[in-house]
Amino acid sequence: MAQSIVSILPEILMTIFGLLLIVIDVLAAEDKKAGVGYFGIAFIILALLASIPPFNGFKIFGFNKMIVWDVYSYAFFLTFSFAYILSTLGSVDYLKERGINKGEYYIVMFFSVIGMMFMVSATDLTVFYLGLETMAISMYILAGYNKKDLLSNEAGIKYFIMGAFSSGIFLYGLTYVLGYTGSTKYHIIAEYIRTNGLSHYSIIFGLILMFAGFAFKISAVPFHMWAPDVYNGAPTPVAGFMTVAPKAAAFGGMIRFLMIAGMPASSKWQLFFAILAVLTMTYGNLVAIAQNNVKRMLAYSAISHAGYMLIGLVAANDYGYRAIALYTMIYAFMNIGAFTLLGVLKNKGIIDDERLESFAGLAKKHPLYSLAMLIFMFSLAGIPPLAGFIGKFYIFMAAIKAKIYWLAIIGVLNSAIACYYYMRVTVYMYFREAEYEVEANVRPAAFIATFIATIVVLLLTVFPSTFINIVKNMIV
Amino acid sequence: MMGNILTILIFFPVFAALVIFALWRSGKATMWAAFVASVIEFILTMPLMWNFDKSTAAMQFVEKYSWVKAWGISYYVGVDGISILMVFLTTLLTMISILASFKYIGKRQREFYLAMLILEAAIVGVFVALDFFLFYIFWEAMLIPMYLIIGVWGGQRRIYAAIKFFLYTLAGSVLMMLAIIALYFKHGQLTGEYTFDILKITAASAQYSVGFQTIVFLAFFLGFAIKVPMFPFHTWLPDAHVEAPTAGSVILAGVLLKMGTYGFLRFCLPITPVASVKFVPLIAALSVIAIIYGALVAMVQEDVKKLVAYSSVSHMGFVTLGIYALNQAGIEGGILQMFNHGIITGALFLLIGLIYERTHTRLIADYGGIAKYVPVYATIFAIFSFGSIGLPSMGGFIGEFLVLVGSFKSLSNYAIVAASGVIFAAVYMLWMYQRVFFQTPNSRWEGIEDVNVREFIYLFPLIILVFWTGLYPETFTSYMHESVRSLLEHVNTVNIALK
Repeated sequence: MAQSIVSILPEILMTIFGLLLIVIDVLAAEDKKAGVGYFGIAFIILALLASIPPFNGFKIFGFNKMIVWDVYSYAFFLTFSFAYILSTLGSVDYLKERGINKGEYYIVMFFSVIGMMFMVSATDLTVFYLGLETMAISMYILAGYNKKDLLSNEAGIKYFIMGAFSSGIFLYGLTYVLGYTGSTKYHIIAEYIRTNGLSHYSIIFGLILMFAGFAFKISAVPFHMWAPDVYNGAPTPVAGFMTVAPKAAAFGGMIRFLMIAGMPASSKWQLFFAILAVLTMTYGNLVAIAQNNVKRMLAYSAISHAGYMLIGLVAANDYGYRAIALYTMIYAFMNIGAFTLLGVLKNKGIIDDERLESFAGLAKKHPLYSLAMLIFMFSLAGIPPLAGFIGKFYIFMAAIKAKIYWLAIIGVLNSAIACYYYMRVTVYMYFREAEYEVEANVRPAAFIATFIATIVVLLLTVFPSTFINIVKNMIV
Repeated sequence: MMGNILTILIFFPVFAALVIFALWRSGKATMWAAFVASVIEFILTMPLMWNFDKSTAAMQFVEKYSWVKAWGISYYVGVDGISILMVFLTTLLTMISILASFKYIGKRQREFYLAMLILEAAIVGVFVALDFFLFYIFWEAMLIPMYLIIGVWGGQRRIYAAIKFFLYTLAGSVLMMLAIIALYFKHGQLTGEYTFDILKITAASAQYSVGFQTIVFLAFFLGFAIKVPMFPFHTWLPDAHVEAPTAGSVILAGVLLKMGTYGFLRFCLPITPVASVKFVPLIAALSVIAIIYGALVAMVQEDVKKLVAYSSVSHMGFVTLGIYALNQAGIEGGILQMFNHGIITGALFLLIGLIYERTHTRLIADYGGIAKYVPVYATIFAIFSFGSIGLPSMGGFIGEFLVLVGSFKSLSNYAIVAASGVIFAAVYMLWMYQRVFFQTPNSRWEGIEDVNVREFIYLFPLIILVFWTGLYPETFTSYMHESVRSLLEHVNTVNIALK
């Protein structure tokens, strides 16, 4: 029993902190609700520090092997925390500006992180599903959080309906797997597949449905239809959060499932994900090219990034899942950074709307913001020496290690295509003349978030070891 | 200090850029500070040249620190006889082009000079990196400042040219990244040591199968051929050269193109020698096409800058032909020609920029007889035109001569055709010179200023160098003898071993 408690200690800690946040929210004055967010940041940092796994290869199972706490879970916990911290800082001004500055925003986001942690730590499908729903419900709320905005309303409802549907599909698939193998525990499922193979239609059917549910969560093509509208409609800092954390959680949980339960049949599902990866990358990139709205472009690019991450899953080796963990960490900084900056620019009135034309001539009047945006864009495109390159490099290493050369080639060609639309933002900022004059006012919190993200994106190539060592010690 | 001179050379410009960024707000102050920084950087190159031991092919001034242990990546730099001249060329031309931009760059001066310094750091990094990961980072990092330089301070169609330049070169090098990773795993598989160390990966090249070498070679080849640029990958070059501001053109032609041929020397030949030998006919054919085609297209240009841009395609054809002659004379000629082309074409772009500042036209037809108004300018232009044609006593001659000597030995049919390129060069350069300088004087240009002191200062070292290489090339070739000899030895050994 004691061991079981230890195995979910980080989650317990987070839950206590989450409840504390609710108390703080009750006590906080109406105009001081941002404090809830700051407390949330402090709490999540505390939880991170308190739950560092004591040694490499640390692995502690709990509740009859339903859940596990190890370096792998910790690596993903780091990603969620980065996402939470940056998005919260990015949200403060954004919410104030729109008159929706409520404490529950930060609390819901905080609880979604707990759901994600359960997804990654789960070694049992029911626990995974519980985590998934906790995360998803929080996300539906956040997507529709700006109730005064029609687009945000649409995002919330769309996400909710489609999300609930996909959860249903996932659950349906789960029951088939349960029916065939007689268990929801990963290692028992693995045992069954090892002896009986994937010959029976019910397990194949079940797995395909589960994969479809998973593909929905990471917005892989052809299960992506909800994504552009939801990312576009959600409040900008939420969009940043949504493109990173839930995706990382879905990957983290799914890798754990595939590496334990699905390993005996890896050659079978590799092809499925390879097709998914190619479709996702290519579609996301091609459609992003056609966008004239930067936020929407980032939404489509978020789809294509899920495609790159899928390459790591296809590789089905140590390099692959480490690559995904590393990629999500780096992606948290650059993508949330870009979204936060977008929010900042809009809030300050530096840009009228998110159209490309609004960015014209930005470099002249706001050289530092433009430089930050340039750094995020080139980092997302994967141009060295910026951090995004490290992530891509590791992903392609995984593919080549697994000898899936064709997928690696499609991947790099796609990242060359992606360059075009990321570059367009810089073209407008640096090479074109401004369209209109605007007055700008200054606010600090989001600026800090942008600053942190920029510095990390810049320095990660110089000091990549920090993150690489964390993922290097991971074992599933 | 000599112990980490290379690190200083890479990071001094970055450091200088940061300091300048923090201290000065005005464009003018930044301009002078950046110039001083580039002069210091150039002076720092001198001890490197003097202390270089010419009697060995080993890497010198080596520094190696573990960087990302988990992947076997280290910060590993060093120079040999092939790269040292390129470092010299980079720091020299950066200094000169910063001085040449003083008048030319009118808007957003701060950003321009900072971009130039960052660009310089990245290029030096490319030439001294001995770790594949480090090399690739510098190779790509250089794109961002160059992209901004073309796109912000370029001519009419600058946006198009900047995007084309960026995407074209990027698309070429992404496959190279996959090849690098493939080499990493191959080397790890064969020797048990997972490393990005270029020298170790090179040393094991006899163990790479022919099929593997061919694939890696093709991936590398695409990246380098685009950078050189070889025919038919050259289409980005005229756009980028013509639209870039003078400093951008000088760096592009003078240094960036050399990154491609340097890649052939440092990676294709030593790491995939068997595949390199196999593809000699293809590369030689493409080189000869580039020589003739570039020259013919240059002949019909109406824009002086475009003419020089196309002549670059032709001249770089000589370099690749020389390298793939695979003998001492050919490769040394190729390297010397890389150096000469940097000096001569760099100077020609500077001269074109200089007159453009005064006349705001680059069309040959608009000039006509300006020798009467700007005699000093006409003289200097004549010197570099002759240098470009390859007149004996000037650098261009020695380079082309060595290349032809080398290629006659092993690729005689190609060499015969290539030799006619020299004649074409004379045709387009002299014809252009005649139309610009010697026709009936166009009164429109009466009273334009001749070369002033500042301009003479930055042209003078180039004039010296073009004669120096022409009259006593040994100063420069002596650096490369040993490195080229050992390179050829390695290529032969591996080829024999795998036959």
